[in-house]
Amino acid sequence: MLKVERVTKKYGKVLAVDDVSFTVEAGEICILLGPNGAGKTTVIKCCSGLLRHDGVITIDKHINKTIEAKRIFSYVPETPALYDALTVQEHLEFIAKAYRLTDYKEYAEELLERFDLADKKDKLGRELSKGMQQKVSICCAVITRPKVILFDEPMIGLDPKAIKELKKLFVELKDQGCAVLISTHIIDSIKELWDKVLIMNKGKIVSTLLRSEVVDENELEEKFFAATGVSQ
Amino acid sequence: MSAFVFLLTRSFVNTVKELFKKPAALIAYIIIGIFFIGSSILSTLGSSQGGSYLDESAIKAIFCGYTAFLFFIVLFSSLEGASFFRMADVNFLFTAPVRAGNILTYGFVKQLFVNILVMFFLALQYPNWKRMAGLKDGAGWILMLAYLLLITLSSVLGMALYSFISRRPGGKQWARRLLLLGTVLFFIPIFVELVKTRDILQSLLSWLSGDAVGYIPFIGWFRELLMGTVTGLTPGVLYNGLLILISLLILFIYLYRMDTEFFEDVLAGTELRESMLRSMREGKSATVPSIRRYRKVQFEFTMEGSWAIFQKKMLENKKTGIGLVGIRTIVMLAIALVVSFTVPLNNVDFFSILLGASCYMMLIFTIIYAWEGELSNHYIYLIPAEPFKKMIAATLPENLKVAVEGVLIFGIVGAVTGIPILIILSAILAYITFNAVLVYFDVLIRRIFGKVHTNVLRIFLRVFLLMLIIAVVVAPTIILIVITKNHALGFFAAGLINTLLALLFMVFGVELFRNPEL
Repeated sequence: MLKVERVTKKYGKVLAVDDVSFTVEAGEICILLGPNGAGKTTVIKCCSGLLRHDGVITIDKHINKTIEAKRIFSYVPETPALYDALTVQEHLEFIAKAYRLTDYKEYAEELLERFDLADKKDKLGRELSKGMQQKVSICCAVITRPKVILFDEPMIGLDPKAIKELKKLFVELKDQGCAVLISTHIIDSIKELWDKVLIMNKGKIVSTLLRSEVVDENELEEKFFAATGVSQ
Repeated sequence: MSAFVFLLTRSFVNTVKELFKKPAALIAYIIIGIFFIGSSILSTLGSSQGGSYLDESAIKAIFCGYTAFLFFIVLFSSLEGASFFRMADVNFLFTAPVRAGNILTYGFVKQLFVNILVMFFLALQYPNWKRMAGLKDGAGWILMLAYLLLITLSSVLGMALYSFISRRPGGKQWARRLLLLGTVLFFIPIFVELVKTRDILQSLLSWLSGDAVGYIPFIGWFRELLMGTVTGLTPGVLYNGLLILISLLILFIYLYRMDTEFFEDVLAGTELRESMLRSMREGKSATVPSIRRYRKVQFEFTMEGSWAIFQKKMLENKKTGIGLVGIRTIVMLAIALVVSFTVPLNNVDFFSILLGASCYMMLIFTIIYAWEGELSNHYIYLIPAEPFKKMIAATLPENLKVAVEGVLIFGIVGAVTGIPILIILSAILAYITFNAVLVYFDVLIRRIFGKVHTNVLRIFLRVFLLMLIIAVVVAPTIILIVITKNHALGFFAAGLINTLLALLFMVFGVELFRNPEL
């Protein structure tokens, strides 16, 4: 569903992502795991079409910057970016109209309820705490019912209940056949969730793990430290 | 102080290094530098034949008007918070074991450094000024010193005022009322004179260059000091310079002695400054306080796809109280109407000047367009719609607003002064399309230069745009009007050329929405 082929991204002379290739299939949760500065966010932004890059990224066989691709993928940025003057409800309505969604109202209500935003739907974007903004950002991404969804450090700033709800959402999206790509540097946050883990370091994918190949959950942590050259 | 010196020098070196990493911006700065230095050399070469184009009272009035404008702006904005510092200074320096006075000195030096850079660019234009205003030898030094003192004193005065009022309950409201009263009182003599003479230029000149203004603290003192560039170093110039230096010293001692009390005010001011800078980086206006009030409005999205972006922007405007008819439109209309009755020109000539002046005002004062705020948010890029349609949808509110402004100003002034309908319609077209040129030129420069360096660079690039417009729009229009004696045809041609320019900028600028670098 999401195919990344030989993607390279440079910021000036700094090579942020170096010849990265991977795929995320429908109904798969893929984790981009790596230390700070490994290039995870850059990969996610390249996939979202928010950065210019070398290499090819396709979403359901459409180049990521085409309208066809944009219709079927969503992106949750690391730092939530909401419109100051729009309420929570208006954010969802705006996205629904911009994506030409029909019959979204019930689903919008459900999402607001799940993320404890129902009583805050008339609050302005700028009046929300960072965690609340992140929840709205997630709702805006999910409401389009995407086939591919990209999460960049989605649990940062969320309270424990929201994290639990978000993890449930990841599994639901997977069960609905959505390809889920999540970047994180916190190993504990993705235990039990992942189908595939891509360990990144210094702009490269240094190791790939499949759930079927890993017997013990602690193996992931050991592999991570071994691959990134950090002793525990 | 060595830590402060290190901080200042490293910040400067790193800024220069950063510039070298952005070839497009660097090339633009080099071109700007060459332009300024080149024009300066050319002016020097030609200065021997030059004489004074402006008389002394006009120069006096310009100095006075500029000083008054700067002081009123600085004082009003300081009510919201004033600070030399950035948040990093607050986080690192204010928690360090350093005397508060030293930190203040550091902020002061930093501010001076920025002003010296601005002064350097202005100094390059000195030969031009010397030729135009017939300045005395050595006037450049007086001009530079006066400018440095003007910028520094206005900043320090703003900080002192903010520190003084922020610790008194209701202080801000009283200060705002007093400032408003002061502003009104300052301008009343102009209106009194206007009623008598029915000549706006004469009224402005007679008040701003009159003796009475010389006694108004700061504004009058600076006017007299700046006049030293024309009169030379007279005792009056030295006396006013001394008054300014003493005021600066008193204000600085006042701030220095506040010690830790000062920090609390600085923190609030710095937070506001940070949000304004962030707002500017994101392409939003920095002239309005970032802590805006939003109205509650009933609204339902009815448009789909890229048009939802347009509707969202209209909703935001509605919430902030920005209607299609803004204060700018009302002020411009009022001024145009007053001037139309007080300028001794025939109506069509006045109407032509009004069109030129309105376009020029737009060029100078509309530095940041609201559409750029959209670019700081990823949704505009991800929404599945054609990039061209997204660009149109994001910029349409600005174009609509100016269209309404054009219809109101030229429609009403034209009707009142009895201008033929064809001239009115063609002037409206020229005005609206001129705005489109500015908007899509901004799209293009954002596309080329990105969000770094844009706000400073943009002002300089506007100068180049102005030259382009003079060459391909203004000059052909004037020639056409002179040859055909048909103003409507001239304005229509201007509208047509503007449209072509805007389309050209759109074609090259649309890539911004297709291939972002967020």
